[in-house]
Amino acid sequence: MPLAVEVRDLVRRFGTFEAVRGISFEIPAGAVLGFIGANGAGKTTTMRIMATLEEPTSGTVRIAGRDVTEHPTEVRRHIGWMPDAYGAYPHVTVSDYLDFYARAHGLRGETRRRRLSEIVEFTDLGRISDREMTVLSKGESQRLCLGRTLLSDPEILILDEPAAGLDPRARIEFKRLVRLLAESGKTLFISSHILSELEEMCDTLLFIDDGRILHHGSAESLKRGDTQKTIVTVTVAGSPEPLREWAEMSPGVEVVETAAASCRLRLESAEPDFIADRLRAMVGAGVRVVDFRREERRLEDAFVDVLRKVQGNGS
Amino acid sequence: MALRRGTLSDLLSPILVKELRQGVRGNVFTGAFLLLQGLMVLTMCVMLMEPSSSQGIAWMFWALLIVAVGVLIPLSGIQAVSSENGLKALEPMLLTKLTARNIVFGKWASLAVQNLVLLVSIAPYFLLRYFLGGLQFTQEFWQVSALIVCAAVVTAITVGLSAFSISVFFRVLLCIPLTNVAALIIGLFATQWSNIGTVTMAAPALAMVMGAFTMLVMLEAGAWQIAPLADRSFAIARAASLLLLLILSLVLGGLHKNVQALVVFWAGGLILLVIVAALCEPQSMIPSAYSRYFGRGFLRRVAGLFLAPGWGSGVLFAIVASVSACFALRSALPELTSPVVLVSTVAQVLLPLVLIPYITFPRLKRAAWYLVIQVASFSAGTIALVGNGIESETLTHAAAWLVPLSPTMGMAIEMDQPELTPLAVDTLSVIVAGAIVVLTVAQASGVLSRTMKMVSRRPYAAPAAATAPAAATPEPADERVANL
Repeated sequence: MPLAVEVRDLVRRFGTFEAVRGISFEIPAGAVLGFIGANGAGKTTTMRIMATLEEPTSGTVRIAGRDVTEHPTEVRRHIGWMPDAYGAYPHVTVSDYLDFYARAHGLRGETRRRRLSEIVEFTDLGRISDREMTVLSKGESQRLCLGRTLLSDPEILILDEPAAGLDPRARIEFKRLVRLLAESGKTLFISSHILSELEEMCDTLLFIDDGRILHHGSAESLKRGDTQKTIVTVTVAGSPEPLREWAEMSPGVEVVETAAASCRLRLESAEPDFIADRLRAMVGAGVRVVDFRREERRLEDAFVDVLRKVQGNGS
Repeated sequence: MALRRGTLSDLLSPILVKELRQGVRGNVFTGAFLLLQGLMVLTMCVMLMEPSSSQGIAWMFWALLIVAVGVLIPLSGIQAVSSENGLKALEPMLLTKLTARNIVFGKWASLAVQNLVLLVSIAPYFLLRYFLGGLQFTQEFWQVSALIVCAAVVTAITVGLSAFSISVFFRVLLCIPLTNVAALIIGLFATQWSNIGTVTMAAPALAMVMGAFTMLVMLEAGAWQIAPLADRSFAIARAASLLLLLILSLVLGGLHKNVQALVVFWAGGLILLVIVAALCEPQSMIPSAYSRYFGRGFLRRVAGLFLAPGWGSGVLFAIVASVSACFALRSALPELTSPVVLVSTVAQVLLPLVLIPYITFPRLKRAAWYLVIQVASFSAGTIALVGNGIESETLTHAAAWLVPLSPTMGMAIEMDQPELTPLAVDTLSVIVAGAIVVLTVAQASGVLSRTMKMVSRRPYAAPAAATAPAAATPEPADERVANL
């Protein structure tokens, strides 16, 4: 499969501060990649370099086979960049705004009108096309921004925190649009803080922290990690205190969280025999178990584990 | 959705269409338009009731026009580009087919069109004044022309400055000396309605040429500020400076002395700005930034030596511009074309470039260091004159040895007061001036040769296929943008 994005040994320094420290990754054409990292991890810098808005200190970034520093104009024709925030122009309506960007992309006459109709239909902006930009809700603004990004029909979409600040309904709508774009064969590069959302939308995830890549692979492989640990939620009748005391005394069991009538426990093995053994021991110790449920590992936990591991190695 | 059926608008720049749509709905234009119309109606009513007050009415008429067209609309340009930056709208625009130049020129054009609309809207009042008496047609025609040129130039100054990442306060502060250009324009146009010089078209024509040059320099400076690194170029302003110097060298001698002084003061200041910008322009190491200058074609390569981005070509441009300026002024000061004067002038312009590479602390912008060194150099050269002025022989003798640090001061002292500096100092001045020129040209040649090699190593050929392997090893860290 041809590569839509190729990043090799990318470094970006601002004075003495190294925002991106030699990262490398590839995105095949048509893939949806989630880009995860804390604030200041180097996400936006990487995305801005990909969008030809910043120059790398060293390393190469190739978009659709073109180097971003050697052929910035060519690269711009292949990408659509949706920044994390954008302001609303006063005295400009939704249709004026889209019309301006369509003209700016060189669309003229009938082609422009056709493209605008397609975009308005796709992003469902028809009802608010005569509304001024300054009175749009966050969800409407994001749909407008996505519409603007799609006007030039780019093959590769770089979306920086597209779902930030959206209410649940707008978020569902946005996810639907992303799914449609992925189905139409576009390559999507999406950064977000909301891990569960990325898990639903993306084929692969790229974790970045302190300018370095910590993980590049599927959400499943990240959740699995390199351990075989399992999380179980045990609900008890009455206080969870006896369960917590038992867990602290038992080998291979660790308390993750305690709630009003339950505990989340981390078992050091996912082997069925080991799990059955621990359950038997728990009941045998007098814990009044009413529910014992094995959990899928959450992406947030996997993320925290990866970070903890890296910080442990660092110290 | 009410889709726009653009016909004429398809022929216009997208940014102009957007700015006009936004501008005519904005408070500044609407306010200026309504206020102007209201006050004009009031003025005409007074004129109808008191026909004898036509002189006073003319003053009021012009005051209103100047405030609306010459001040309000041009000043609204002070936030034209910075407001886009504040809305994070510039970057998405730069990812379209719009260039930084399109954006800045489009914003200026929109304000200029709004100004024209205001002017056209008061045409009926001009007509009314004509029929009621009190309109001096020829004089007011030239005054309106001067106002149009002034408004266009001041708008270009405010729009250009709006692209600089400085506070509004500093922008306004910088605007004040620059808008003195308006006084120069009025001065040149005034030759048509006053007794300054002979009544020819040369002065207004020059005012328009100089106005166009000022607009170009300011708008190009604004575009440079917002352009992505690979697209930054001040080449058009450099080329326009050389063209202006050529025009001035042809026409300056034939102008009235007052007009000549205005033009030299105005053009000199602007060309000096372009020279400083050329000498302080960072030398980017991005191949695509140079491909259009050092690609195929002999003429293109020769032009690239003077116009390509970066201070390397800036040195050659500064030499040509300084020498051309001396030749342009030869009618007023024939001694400016002597070889010693030429070398001293070029050396003075290039002097900071010899020192800047060795300054590592404190971290200042290259342009700031350039100005600091120039001020220090002139100060060093002036001490001997001060010593002579206060009749302190010791100070004069000691300070005479500082004169070579300022090639132009050395040359001026040698021409005006040769007894002030000993022969050894004069000889040293010439040697220092020559050394500065040789050293800087050598540095610039090195940079240009490296740049040309970089471009020829990575020609701007058809881009590789999507499946092609990664490019060759990139430039080492921190070499993409190098000041030196």
